[in-house]
Amino acid sequence: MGSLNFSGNWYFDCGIIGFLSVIDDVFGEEEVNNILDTAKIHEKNNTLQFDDRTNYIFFQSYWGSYLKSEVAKLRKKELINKVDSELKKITNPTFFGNFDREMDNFIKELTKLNNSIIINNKKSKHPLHKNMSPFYVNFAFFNNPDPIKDSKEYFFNYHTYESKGKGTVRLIERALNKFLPSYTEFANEFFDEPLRIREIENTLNLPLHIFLMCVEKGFVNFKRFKENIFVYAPSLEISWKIHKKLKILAQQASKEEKDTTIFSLTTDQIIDSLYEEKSEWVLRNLLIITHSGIDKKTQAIQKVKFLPFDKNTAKLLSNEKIRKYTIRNIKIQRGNDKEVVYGIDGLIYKKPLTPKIIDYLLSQNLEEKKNLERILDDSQQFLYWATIDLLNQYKLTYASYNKAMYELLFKEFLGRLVFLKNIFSDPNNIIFSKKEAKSNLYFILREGKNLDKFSFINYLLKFIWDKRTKQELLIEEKKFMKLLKLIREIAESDVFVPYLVPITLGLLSQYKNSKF
Amino acid sequence: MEKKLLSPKEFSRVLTEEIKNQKLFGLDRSVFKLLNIAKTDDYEEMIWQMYRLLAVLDSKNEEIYSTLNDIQDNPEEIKKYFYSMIISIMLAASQGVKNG
Repeated sequence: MGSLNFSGNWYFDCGIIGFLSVIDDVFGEEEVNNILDTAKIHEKNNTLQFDDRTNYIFFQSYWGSYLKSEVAKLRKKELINKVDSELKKITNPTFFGNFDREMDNFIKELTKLNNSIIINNKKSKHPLHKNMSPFYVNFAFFNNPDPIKDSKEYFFNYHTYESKGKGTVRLIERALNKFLPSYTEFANEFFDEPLRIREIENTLNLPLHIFLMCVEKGFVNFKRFKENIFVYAPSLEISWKIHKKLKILAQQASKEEKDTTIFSLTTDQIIDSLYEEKSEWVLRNLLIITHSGIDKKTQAIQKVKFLPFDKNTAKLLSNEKIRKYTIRNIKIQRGNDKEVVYGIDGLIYKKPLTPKIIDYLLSQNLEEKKNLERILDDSQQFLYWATIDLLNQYKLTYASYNKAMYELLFKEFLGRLVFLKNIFSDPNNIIFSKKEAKSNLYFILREGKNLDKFSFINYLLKFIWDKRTKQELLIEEKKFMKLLKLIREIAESDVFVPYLVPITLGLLSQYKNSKF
Repeated sequence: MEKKLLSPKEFSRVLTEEIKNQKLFGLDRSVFKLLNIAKTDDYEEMIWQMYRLLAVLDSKNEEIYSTLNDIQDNPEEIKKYFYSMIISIMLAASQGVKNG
């Protein structure tokens, strides 16, 4: 007996997740756990193969869910119900018999069922041969001149891998994996003949030909983005867990949230799942792959994106506080539109967050005590987000990058921002008086991000120095000097917008105290 | 031998020390004037003001002179160093107050 494990190649492993997913769709989590826990795979000719029961369950699930999704496209409730009830009859998980005979019966039943429903006003030729996804066109069991007779034979050959007859797919090249070149068109790429599925199966002890049928199902489809996503973690269990969460998310995804990307929507779920595992190495070895479908004519996979997490981002995300504040989001209302901004976009995709924080604050009614309190309660989150911006814009040298200085830098930058916020909000340090807090608050919110760095520094220094000469600046000398040194740092660095966040929060706090 | 150039922070540290050593805390009266110059794009004036301060301080620090010489054609850098100088004057004045 062997166990089901990842092969180490993301494409095949996506197929393994797809394999579990089709079984989950029809038989549920229990059957998936059964396969994962007991690994009902037996050794045969040095190759692990599924036993007859697992084979049959997969067979039922695969074609059952395929037919279901085809019927679902018609959006006819009575047909969906009919297919559901028929499938219940013929998908009996207690089967332990002869695979060949049962598959034969199953195909007969499916053909009867299929003939009784009319798809697009035409009777379908065969249950396994209608409106197929372009993903499958190279599998012979979908692509042959006599679908009813040959499909079954081809599919049987392919599925059992017993025969070298019709229907088996042997080479690992573009016909199977659209990310690879075609052997016939680019023979030089391969030096020799491409690898054969059987060779890999013998080495890895996995029934890869089964998983190759399921690669499409390993991706979760988010209809509203017209995109599919697969999260490849270096462990089957974790990848499966994330796949399940994303499937639920894909069904729940709200249509109200505009300007959201599939990455923004899914990443916090992914991070949360991974955080439960308490493993930085999982994050460091995570790969996210998205595509927006396969072109029916060219079979090219469209808009493919690969996103690896870098080492430092993984390190930061394994810190509980950073994770807590970065997976949050803010909603900016603009007329009837709502923009959702995710902290994770800053950390992983390096999108500037500070301008969005300022837009968010401007969109809030700051005359209401409740709003002010809520914003000030979220101060920490905004300071963390501004720190991420500082970090993203800091020019790391190769040496400091290698020494993983990220976390130390994060703490250093966060410390500066916290100091600024405190110094502008502490009632014992009077930089802006209560009266001045409101006008300066709105000035910074409205003009701050449009000012250049030096104009802002000039404004701040003049203000501070004016107060000092009038002896209205009530602040400890030590803190005052620290503030000046910090302003000098800002002048020297290339980034200043993130520093607006703590100053704004400090002024908000002052304003709240003066008003309420 | 190549002369060492100072970063704005180091430049500011050296100036603060020299102002404190010379006890020229009264220089803080020029802060507003300098801030007004800093608001303009008159980079020649900024360079001139920096040399002027060095003359008042009678500075013998060669690194400062080399640094100023080096940044003369770079407006962004001139502004950075000019603000560093203003903050040095403010810091020296504050330390003067702190030390009575």
